[in-house]
Amino acid sequence: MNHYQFIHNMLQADEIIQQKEWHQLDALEKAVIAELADNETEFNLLKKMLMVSSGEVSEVPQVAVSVQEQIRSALPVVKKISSHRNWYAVAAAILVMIIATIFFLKKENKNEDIPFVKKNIKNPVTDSMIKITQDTSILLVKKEKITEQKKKSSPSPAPVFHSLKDTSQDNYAGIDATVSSNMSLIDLITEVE
Amino acid sequence: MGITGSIYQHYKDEELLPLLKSGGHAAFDELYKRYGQKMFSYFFRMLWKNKELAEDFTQDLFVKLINNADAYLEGRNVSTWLYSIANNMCKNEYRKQEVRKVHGMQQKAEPSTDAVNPDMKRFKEAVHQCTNELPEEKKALYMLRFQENLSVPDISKIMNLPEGTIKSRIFYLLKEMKEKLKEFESLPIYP
Repeated sequence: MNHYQFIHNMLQADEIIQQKEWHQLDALEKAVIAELADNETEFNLLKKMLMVSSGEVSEVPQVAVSVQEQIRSALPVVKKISSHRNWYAVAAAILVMIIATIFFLKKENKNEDIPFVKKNIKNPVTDSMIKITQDTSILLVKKEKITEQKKKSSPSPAPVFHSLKDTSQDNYAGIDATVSSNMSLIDLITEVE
Repeated sequence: MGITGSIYQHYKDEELLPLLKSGGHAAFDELYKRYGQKMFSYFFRMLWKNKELAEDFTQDLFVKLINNADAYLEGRNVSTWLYSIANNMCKNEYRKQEVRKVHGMQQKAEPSTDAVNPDMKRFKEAVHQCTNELPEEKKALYMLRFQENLSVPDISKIMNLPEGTIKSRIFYLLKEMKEKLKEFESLPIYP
């Protein structure tokens, strides 16, 4: 029997002693316990000792109930704040969203204060002219007519419409100068910026 | 109590531990039901059958368990972890106390175990004395193996010793005890 087997068998020796009687042991088992007990007397002594030791467990009294109660008092007390905190966070987030929504809505409304002409930068004069047409029933001069009239018209353009020539839109490239002489009509035209 | 017991009685030990940290009383009750008496029994026998001391140690053990539930390593057996803590507590207590003086005092206070068969009674007292006289480590080994019925791998983890060392120590411990109890060889096996 080598050293490893010897060490391994040492464990089994105490199990054999606890679980079997001497007359139940085979040759191999007797060889295993030989180091501890090589005869029935020694075997029985060890068996008695182990029986007494395991029996001592039943001689232990019951632990007092107060021990459990005292341990329970040491358990951490967890306050149910976490769920309230979550609700507070949600409420705060909703409030922030509402405020942000109001803020952005107000910002958009401010655009409505801008004059009609300023808002519609692309066709400021056209819109203005349509408005004039609608309001005063003055006919719009189309591009073809304007070009014809330009030839006929006086070289000095109306100062009010000077800026119109700078616009990129062709359909209001110029206005009949004769219109400009009528000051009441000029007043109807809103300022183009 | 019956209702809470039914909730956690199928939980594994490892599943109950995290619940202790969050103040789970029912989870603690279940864990205590499994190990309270067992650990008290171990302390009672290790600490010279001093009931009050054993109860104090049981209380301290479970408070340590509650406060250090985070330190529990997953995969480790809760039972062996408890015995490890208990073993260390007893080791410290043995260092504090003067073992022989305490042992002497306890001997006088020990109640009679068997009044019917005086020989058996003497034998039991002799076994008890032999185990009590053992140094702390041998005593712990003897109790863990032959009273708590723990396996060699479990004892190895509790005592932080290799399994081969545990096997070897068990063997030589039995041999030593046999020599001390030689006078009782002639006793009949069953009282």
